[in-house]
Amino acid sequence: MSVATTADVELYLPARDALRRRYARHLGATAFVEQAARLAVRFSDGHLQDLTLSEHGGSALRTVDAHAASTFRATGAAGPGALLLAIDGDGAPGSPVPDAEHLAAPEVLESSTDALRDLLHRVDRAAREHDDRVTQVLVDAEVVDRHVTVVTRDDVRQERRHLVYLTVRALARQGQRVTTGFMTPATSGAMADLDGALIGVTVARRAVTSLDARPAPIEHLPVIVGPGRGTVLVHEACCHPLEGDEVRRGSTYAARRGERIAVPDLTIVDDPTVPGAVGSYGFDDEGVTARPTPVVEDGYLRAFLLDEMSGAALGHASTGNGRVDGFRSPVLPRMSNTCVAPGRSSAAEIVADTPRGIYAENVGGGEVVEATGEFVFRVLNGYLVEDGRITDPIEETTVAGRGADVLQAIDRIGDDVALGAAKCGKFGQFLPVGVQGPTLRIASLLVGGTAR
Amino acid sequence: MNGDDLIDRYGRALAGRTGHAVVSAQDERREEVVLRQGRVESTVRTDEAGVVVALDDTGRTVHVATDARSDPAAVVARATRALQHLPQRATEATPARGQAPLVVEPPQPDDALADRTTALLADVAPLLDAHVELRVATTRRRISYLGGDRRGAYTTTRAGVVLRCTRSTGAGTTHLARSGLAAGTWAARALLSSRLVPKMQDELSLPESTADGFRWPELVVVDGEVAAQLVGLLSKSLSAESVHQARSRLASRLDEQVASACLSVVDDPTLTDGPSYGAFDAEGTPTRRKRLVDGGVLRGFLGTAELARLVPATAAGNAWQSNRVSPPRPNGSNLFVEPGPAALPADASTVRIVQSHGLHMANDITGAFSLGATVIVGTAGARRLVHGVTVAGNVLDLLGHVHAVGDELDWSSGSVASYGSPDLLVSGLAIGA
Repeated sequence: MSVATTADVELYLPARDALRRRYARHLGATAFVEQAARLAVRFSDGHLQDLTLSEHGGSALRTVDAHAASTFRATGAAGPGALLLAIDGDGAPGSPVPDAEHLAAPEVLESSTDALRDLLHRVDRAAREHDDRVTQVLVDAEVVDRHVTVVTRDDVRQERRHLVYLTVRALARQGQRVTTGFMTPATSGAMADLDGALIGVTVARRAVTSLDARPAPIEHLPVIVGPGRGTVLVHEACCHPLEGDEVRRGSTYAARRGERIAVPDLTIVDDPTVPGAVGSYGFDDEGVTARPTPVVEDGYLRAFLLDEMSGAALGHASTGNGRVDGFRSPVLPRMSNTCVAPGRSSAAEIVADTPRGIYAENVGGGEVVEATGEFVFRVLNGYLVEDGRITDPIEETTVAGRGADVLQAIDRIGDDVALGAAKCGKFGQFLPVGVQGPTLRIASLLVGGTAR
Repeated sequence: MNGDDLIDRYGRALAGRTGHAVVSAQDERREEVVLRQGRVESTVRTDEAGVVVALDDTGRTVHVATDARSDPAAVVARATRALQHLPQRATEATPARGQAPLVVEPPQPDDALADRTTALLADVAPLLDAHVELRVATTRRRISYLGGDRRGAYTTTRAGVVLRCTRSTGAGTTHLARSGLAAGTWAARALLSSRLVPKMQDELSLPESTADGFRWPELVVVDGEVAAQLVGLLSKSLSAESVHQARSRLASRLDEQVASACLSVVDDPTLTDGPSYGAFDAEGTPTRRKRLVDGGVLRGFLGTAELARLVPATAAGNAWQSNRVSPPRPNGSNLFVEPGPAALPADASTVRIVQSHGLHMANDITGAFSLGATVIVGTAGARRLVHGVTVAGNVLDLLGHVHAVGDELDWSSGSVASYGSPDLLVSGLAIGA
């Protein structure tokens, strides 16, 4: 969860005034200053393999002229002095100056190393103790501490953002067969929020279960996705085309605001205020206060996800969804935490009511073509559903469909909301995003397996 | 402060220290232009200098990445403290690595992308019947290195081109994307005008249909752009780190026939017209061309200095950073399927996979993939586009089902490497629609 601070807001007030003066006639002018520290470790064979500490700072100035053309300049110079040089100069933040503007050394991350190492040992131990067919546990872990300042013509805002993100994989081996279990536990809160033993057992179970998996079918079937990370399906299939830049390009939902686009029971909210979720922040990277945005409400399309630029082009205010993956990148409209409201069915009832289909217990990522809404979505741990029961595990597969069809085909919504984490890529920018939702059943999707 | 100055400052801070220490500095300029419907929508330019200090002692490695403002003595002290968090894996200090001299190449002349927008707009003019978005991004890096008394420097530029076209008709909306990599702004323009735009024109001219009633043939053509992404998936199994950690299915198959005889896989950082040129790697090992799969026989793995000692048939020279703040890992540079002598015959198959979605989600340990695809079905004069297809298989199994390779490389971007492939004629894929 992000923590707001006001430590040196006043130092940036001259930059705010300069922005106001220099770019008075522009459609937009925003400066972004970042000081970040990151601890990254790689764990395998039961111990830390290597360790990287990094610290960087920089600033960027983005202006949008009266013709809506955007110019973005960034350099590794951070602080109010460098920013003033940029605003009063040619747009490039000034030369780095080794002064009080320098970022704080990442001692806080150095002190996290022991706690992170202990957490990863718990993961490893639990996975190997769960089943002796687990032969390897691989973890890429990062702890990131970012101090962000956004200067607009009206305001200066600052906050500190924290992230702990693990990418955990367990390998299981039986004869010549090798399978994997995958999980991305993460938090914007304290590292202690992550339960190492539970993570280890979960990835081990997923890897070992796959040893008995049979090829996934190739056919259109009902697909049940589990709670939490399963909400990535909604993120990919439905919400990317609702991002403002894609709406401007004519996405599949571009002209449908106010229309009923989904089943009546479905409500989707983009909510950057969810405690502990990895997509949470106090304000977005253009300084707009974070707030929940209902995008689909009882089946009706209510809003798009907008940054300042796409909002201006579409005639609406920003929804606080302008995000960047660092000072080097220009703002894009992005999701924060995609939240699907719970329904009334239990997960057991949904499965019992499915004569034949697949159950996607754990999912990977996905990809969507925003213009058409076509998407694919990776099922890492799936099972066949036969006669209302979960039966055999299936090999990793992909499900495919069109987002607009999915919104109309969600025919059961569970009451079991859970929170998950993922990283989402867009034009080369990778951001942590939260997903929160219940078990969902989609009446029909193409399952792209290998069973002939 | 430029990279050479940073190297000097850190060299002084490291003087007299025991154990192996490396300093690598990068001056980076990144430019991007987005053109839409005949006008410049946005321009981006980022300039940044950074440095990475690597300390390697008794089998432990720590990297500290920082920017130009940090105090070198404080950074070295931080790295030394961080070493204590890692388990000691050897009893003696790690000896200095690499004895071969390094090159100090002169800086390349500037070739600013921002100066080429008018020409780029002209390049995509033939497509303006559709909604056209063109993104061109160039990243130019000056790499400077210091390890012991060895110094080197070179410049590398990678340009990425993404062309997206959307055509709306009464029958619906067609969206097609084409992308590629080149070794600089001029090469990117050549790629765009000679390859991406003509392919896009051809595909936009095709009618669309469903696959209802179509019988999928055993042999299909995988377009070079899609095949290049499959090379990216394969690359993890060719990493000596994966072999050492027992997570590569190729680990025990050295000198065995793992692929069709027509298939050779090469990594060549010295390819000056490749998108990922490097005169030496991040550990200061001079680079060279390596045939990892030769006529279908597995001959070697991608390695670092340490892995070269631990894994057979692994040479150092493939330690690359995925970004400025990441430690070097074994990876490809220009990693590609070697082109054959001639293009695939036009009637090689009635199915051509031209676009894929979701390959980044494939399992890089098992090699299993299942992706969404757009395909062209039919033969000359009766071709049509089919969207919403799934294609599944395993890249390690697919190696043995390559029947022919085309003659022209397409490149795809990985986080570290550039992956290349010509068109491939393959069998054994499971296709659904």
